[in-house]
Amino acid sequence: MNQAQNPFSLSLRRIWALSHNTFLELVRLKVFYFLLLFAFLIIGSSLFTVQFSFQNPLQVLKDVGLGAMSIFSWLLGLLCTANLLPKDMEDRTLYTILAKPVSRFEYLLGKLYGVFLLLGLSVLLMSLLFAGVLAIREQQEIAELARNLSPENLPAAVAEIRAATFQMNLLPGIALILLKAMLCSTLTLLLSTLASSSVFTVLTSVVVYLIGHVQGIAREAWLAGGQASPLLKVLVAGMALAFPDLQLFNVVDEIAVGTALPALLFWQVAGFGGMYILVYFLLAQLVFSTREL
Amino acid sequence: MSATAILIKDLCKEFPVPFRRETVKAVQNLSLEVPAGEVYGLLGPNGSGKSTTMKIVLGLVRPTSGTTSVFGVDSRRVESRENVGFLPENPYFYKYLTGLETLLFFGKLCGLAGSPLRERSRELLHTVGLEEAADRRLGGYSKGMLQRIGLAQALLGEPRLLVLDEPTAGVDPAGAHAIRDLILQCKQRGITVLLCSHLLGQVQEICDRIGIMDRGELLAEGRIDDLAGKKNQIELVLENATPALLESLGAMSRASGAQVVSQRGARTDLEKFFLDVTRHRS
Amino acid sequence: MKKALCIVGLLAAFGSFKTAAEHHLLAAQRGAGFQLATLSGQTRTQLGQTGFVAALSGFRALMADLLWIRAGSAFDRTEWPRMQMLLHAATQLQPRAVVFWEMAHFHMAYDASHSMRLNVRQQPVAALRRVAELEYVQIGEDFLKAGLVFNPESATLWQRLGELYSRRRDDPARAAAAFTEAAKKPGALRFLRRMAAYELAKVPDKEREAYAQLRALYLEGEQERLPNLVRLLRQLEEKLAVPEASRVYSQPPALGPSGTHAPR
Ligand SMILES: Nc1ncnc2c1ncn2[C@@H]1O[C@H](COP(=O)(O)OP(=O)(O)OP(=O)(O)O)[C@@H](O)[C@H]1O
Ligand SMILES: [Mg+2]
Repeated sequence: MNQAQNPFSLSLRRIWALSHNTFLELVRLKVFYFLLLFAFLIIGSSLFTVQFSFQNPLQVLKDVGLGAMSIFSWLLGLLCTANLLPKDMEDRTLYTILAKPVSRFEYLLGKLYGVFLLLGLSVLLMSLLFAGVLAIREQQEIAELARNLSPENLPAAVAEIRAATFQMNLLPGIALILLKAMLCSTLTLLLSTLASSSVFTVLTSVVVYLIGHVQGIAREAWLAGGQASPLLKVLVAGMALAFPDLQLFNVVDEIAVGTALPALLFWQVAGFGGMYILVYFLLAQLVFSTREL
Repeated sequence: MSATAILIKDLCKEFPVPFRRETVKAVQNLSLEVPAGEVYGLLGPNGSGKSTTMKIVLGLVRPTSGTTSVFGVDSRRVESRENVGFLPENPYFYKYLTGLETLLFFGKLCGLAGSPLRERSRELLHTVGLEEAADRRLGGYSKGMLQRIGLAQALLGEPRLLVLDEPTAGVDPAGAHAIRDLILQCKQRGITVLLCSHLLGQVQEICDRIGIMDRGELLAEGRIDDLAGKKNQIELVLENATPALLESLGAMSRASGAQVVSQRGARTDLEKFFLDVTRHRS
Repeated sequence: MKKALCIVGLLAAFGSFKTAAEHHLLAAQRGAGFQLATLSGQTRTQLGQTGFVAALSGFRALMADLLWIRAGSAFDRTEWPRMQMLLHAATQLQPRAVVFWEMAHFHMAYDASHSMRLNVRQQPVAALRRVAELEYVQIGEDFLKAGLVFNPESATLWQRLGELYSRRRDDPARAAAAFTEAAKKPGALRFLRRMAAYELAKVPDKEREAYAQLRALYLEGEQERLPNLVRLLRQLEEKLAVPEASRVYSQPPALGPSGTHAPR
């Protein structure tokens, strides 16, 4: 392959122009309306969870919020990325862009970065909304307690409520939720450089997401060398080798019940996610650089 | 500065046909040279490989064999596109951007920024006659308007080479006329133009040289005057001529050995009429 | 086609590296208290297909909450076996939530077992009612012990274990051991050491040890000299015939205002 084009000739300004444009595209496609769904979910369940007496309603609300954040950021990344390349190719806008002194590497990076921007902003908005709703509910609960409890029992009860609301130690967990969504977006980008239809891209990406969450179980069984049939072993080994272990990014649930996430561990997981993003992106570039437009 | 703007050598391009063994030969053994400053027209029936050739020159499509270069730089390199403006056929841009935003976006890709970019964009919007639509989204542009914004976008980076794939398709006569003038202006400023069009009249007016392609092959090439000029004929248009004058002109020509080949009442041509009517309105 | 093969090859090469890294990371996370949930067949049955997928992909904590709420409705209808299964599934999904283990053990070792004792209508034979009662105490104990596997540093769970041995099993030796363990954990409350000593004093041949502990606590200062402790200390000094000279005090203790705050 006499690839004379240097894929690493980078201009930050061009990448920024492309990612800003992608971001603008997604915003003007009213992608943010998707987040309204999240808002409805949180506010709705905030009203709904009042009636639970058996489990701390704030804890339920918090678990709803964190779970929804994880799913929503993933879906948002997936749906935005899946259509990015096919649309530009179909509309032939890609020709006009690549006829400028823009390398395919810059183009791809700009697009992905635009999605990352959108994801970052979305997760930020979701966190703010979530923290806000929890804060309001917290005030309500405390006011309620103050009415019903004697003063000496109040501090302990208030502390229990505080522990069940939004706390700063959740932030690293939320950062890993964002990272997982970015990883899945990069994977989707890779799939969309290979695929000829975005339906294929979306379906495959969903399957990878699901498998990614059970990969750990399969991998550990394989590494432990259980007594499975050879065929099953090969299957599981293939699964372990090919799919990312997405469960490693789900630590926020434990943080929410008070488990401390050591800084080193956070950075290890973050570095691991970063490495995945890098590898998937380079593979996407490899495919895209030789693809017939 | 290289004296050769575009150099194409033994270019072949085959497209695979899905699920078949055969391929479509879009371009076959094409060799071509466009010197800097020339306006070159590629002609040919539909599907003859004109657009494909242009895309290969711009590095958008990979050739099966052969090489192309722009100002001496291989087309596969990003730098080869630094001084090039391209208007694709049926251009289509981001619907969600306004006309001005579109130019700003492409300007940034060309390495422009800040107020020079803004000024240049406004100026080009004026040039292509889209000032009023500058703040409307492209989703609401008509075909001709898209064509115009495409042309503006191609001119953004002060290119030394313009590649225009059917620049007047879908544009109204006044616009087509303006585009013709624009291309002539570019030519005067020394910009090289590679053009393809089905409007032979227009090609004849603006091109220095043309090449005719069919089924991927270059069949004929040369200067317009050499290919189409009738050196021994001349046209003469008269106003308020009396029959007696015509009679005596005919006699005079016969006497000097020349011959009147045709004689008819001149019509205002439709283009001129159309231009007159629409000009009065604005 | 060649491209696809190339990519599969690269992925496999990267895969073998990243599989090792993932294995290592998982171990590190488990060491720090993450990724401990087990999705056993039983949990899966409780969750159903959709719930299982949800639990796998980000809604694990929420699914645990839902199971917990369903356990609450089982509680309202006093369906103890069903409640036990739901509590088990919930704790398996969210094993780091100490409160789940704690509450699960309360509901089994206290609520369910009491209800067995009083269940005259369905079980007229007293001895059999006692068997059923103890079965639920055992289930409660099992919840605590399982909880301690996942949260070995939880003072609360050790304390509850001590209380269970003391109140439901009349086993002061094990109760004392559990309270002692609880007292060593981070964030443990002061009274746990006292509780350990009180329980130890009930064990027939451990009185000397208990006395030593109570004495040490007494000597720590005013804040430990609560009426119960002082009374027990004096009883032991009598019983063990500690020489007058080495007794910690000879006067009856003054009942100050601090004497009102006694251990739970
Ligand atoms: N991406 C592609 N995949 C497969 N075949 C293609 C592709 N692009 C062009 N072709 C084929 O190559 C041939 C040349 O097409 P091209 O677009 O260059 O023609 P053209 O001369 O520009 O025609 P027109 O005057 O209609 O614009 C056609 O037969 C076309 O079907
Ligand atoms: Mg064409």
